[in-house]
Amino acid sequence: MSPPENPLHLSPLFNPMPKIRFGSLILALFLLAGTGVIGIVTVEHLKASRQMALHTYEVRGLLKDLRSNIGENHANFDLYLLSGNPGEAQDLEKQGEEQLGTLRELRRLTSDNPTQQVRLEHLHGALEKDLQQLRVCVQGPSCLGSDPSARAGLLATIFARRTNMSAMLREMEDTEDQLLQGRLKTWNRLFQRMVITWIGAFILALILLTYNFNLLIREIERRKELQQIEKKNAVSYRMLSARILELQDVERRRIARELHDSVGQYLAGLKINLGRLQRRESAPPPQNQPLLAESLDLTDRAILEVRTISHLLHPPLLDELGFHSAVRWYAEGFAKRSGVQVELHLTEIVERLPKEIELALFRVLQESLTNIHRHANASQVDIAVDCTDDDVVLCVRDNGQGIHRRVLDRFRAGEAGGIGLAGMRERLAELGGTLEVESHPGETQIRATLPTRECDPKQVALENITIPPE
Amino acid sequence: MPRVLIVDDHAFIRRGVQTLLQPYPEWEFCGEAGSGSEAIRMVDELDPEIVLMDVTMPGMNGIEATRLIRSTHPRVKIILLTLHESSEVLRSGFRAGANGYLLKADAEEELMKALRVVIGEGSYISPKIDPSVATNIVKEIQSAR
Repeated sequence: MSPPENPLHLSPLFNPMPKIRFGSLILALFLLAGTGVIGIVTVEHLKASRQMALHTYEVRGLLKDLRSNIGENHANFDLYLLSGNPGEAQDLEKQGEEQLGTLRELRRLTSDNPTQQVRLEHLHGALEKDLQQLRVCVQGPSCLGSDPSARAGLLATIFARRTNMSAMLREMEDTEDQLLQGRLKTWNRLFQRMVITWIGAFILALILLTYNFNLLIREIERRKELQQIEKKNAVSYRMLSARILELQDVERRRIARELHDSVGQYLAGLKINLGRLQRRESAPPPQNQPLLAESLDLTDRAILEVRTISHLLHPPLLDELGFHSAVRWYAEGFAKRSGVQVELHLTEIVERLPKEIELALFRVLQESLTNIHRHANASQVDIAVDCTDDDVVLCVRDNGQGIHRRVLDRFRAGEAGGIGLAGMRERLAELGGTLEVESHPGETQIRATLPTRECDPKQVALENITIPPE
Repeated sequence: MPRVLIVDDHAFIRRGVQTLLQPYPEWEFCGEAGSGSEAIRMVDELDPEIVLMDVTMPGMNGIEATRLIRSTHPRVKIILLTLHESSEVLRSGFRAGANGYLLKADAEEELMKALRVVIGEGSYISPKIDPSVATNIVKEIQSAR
C-alpha cells in the first residue's frame, strides 16, 4: 500500500488560489461598478448633448420660419405697392409684428451665442425699418406717389435691405448648421465611447468572472480531493488501529505461550523436586520442614500466577470453548481481583461465533472491565450478551463515577486512538460493528454490536448468574 | 512389573518424574527420551507398558508421537504429562490415542493414581479440567472408537 499523501501539502492554508480568486472577483466587481459610474456620467452627457442638438434644431426651425415669413411679407409688400390696397397693408403690419416676436424668441434661444445675437440685432433693425417703411407708406403718399424717381429709390432701399436680411439669415442658418453638426458629432463620440467602454468592461468582467469561476471549480475539485484523502487517511488510520490490536493479540498470545511453556516448565520441575525432597528418607531435618512446605506453597502460587497471567493475556477458553465460557471465566476472575459484584445475563449461544468476532467482543469486555477496575470506583457491573436476528450485542454497565467529560468528548470526536476503547471501536468497525459509550455519574454503559448470522435468538437460553466479590 | 518410559524435552522434568517413581518398586523406570521421534525409537526398543509423554516438544510433539506409537504398539498406555489445562489439547491427545491426562504441577500428588488407573485399562483426566468438559470428551472419543 502506498503511503498516504501528506495532507499538509494540499491544505487550503497553503493554497494561494482563494486569494487570487478573491482578488479577481473584487476586480471584476470593481470594473462593473466603475463601468456603471462611467455609463451614468456618459448618459448624462448624452442627454445634455441631445438637449443642445434639439435646441439647435429649434433655432434652425425658427430661422426657417422667419425666412419664410420675411419672404412672404416682402411678396405681400410688393403686391401692396402695386395695388395700393390698405387692407393688405394692415396684414403686412401684423406679419411684421409676428416677425419681431419670432426674432425675440430667437434672441432668447441664442443668448449664449454673441455672434448670432449681433446678427439678430441687425436683423431686428432691418425688420424695424421694414415695418416703419410700411407705416410711412400706409400713412402718406410717398410710397404710392406718382414720382417715379422717389419710387425707384424706395424700391432700391427695400431691395438692398432684403438682400442684406437674406444674407444674414443664411449666415445664421449656416452657423446653426455648423453648431448642429458639431453637437451631433459630440453626441456620436459620447455614444461610441460609452458603447466601447461598456463592451470592454463587459468583456473584461466576463474574462475575470470566467477565470474566477475556473478557480472556483478548481478549488472545489481540490477540496473534493482533500476530502478523499481525508477519507483514505481515516481508512488507513482505522486499518492501522485494527492492525495494532491484531499485533497486540498475536504478541499477547506469544507471551502467554512463552510464560506457560517455559517459566511454567521450570516451576513444575521445581515443584516435583521440592515434593521429592519433602518425602525422601534423607529429607531435611524436621526444623527445616516448615521452610520446605513454604517453598512448595510459594511454587504453587507462582504456578498459579504464571497460569493466571498467561490466561489473562490470552484466555485459552476463548479458543477452545468460545466467548460464552470465556466471559464467565473472565468475569469470575474480575470479581475476585476487583471486589466488584458481577451480574451476568447471557444468552447461551448454541453455535460458536466466528473467531474474530469472539476475540473482538472478548477484548471489549476485557478493556471495559479493566477501565472499571482502574477508574470507575464501581460496586457492581452488569454484563449482558444478547442475540438478535443479525447481531450479537455485548453490553457492560457499571454504577461507578462515569467517564470524564473531556475523555468522552475526545472519544466521540474520534480523536482518541490507539489500543483503548477508541481502538476497539476501530476494530469493531473493521468487522462492520459499532461501539457506543454512554456515561454520566452513577452509570456508564458500553455497548458493542457486531453483525453475525451465527447468533440465532430462537435457539438460545437465557442464563443469569451473580458472581459476588470475594 | 510395568515398565515406564519418560518423554520430555526438559531433563530436569525427566529426572523429577523418575525420582517420583523411585519410592514405588512396583513401577520400573525403563528409560527416557527427549523428543517425540526419540520416544518412538525407545518404544520400539524397550516395549514399555506405559509412556509418560510431554506434549510441547521441539520437532515432533507429544500428540503426534502418541498417534504413531499407538498405531504400532496398541498395547502401550500413554499418559500425557503437560502444563496445558486445555480441553483442546486433551481432546487432541485422546483422539491420538492417549489414555491419561496429567498436569505437571500435580504430578507429585497424582502420578501414582494416574498410573494405576491407566494400567487398569481406565482413562485418567486431571481434576483441574472442568469435569463436564472432560466427560464429554471421553464420551466423544469412546463413541468414535
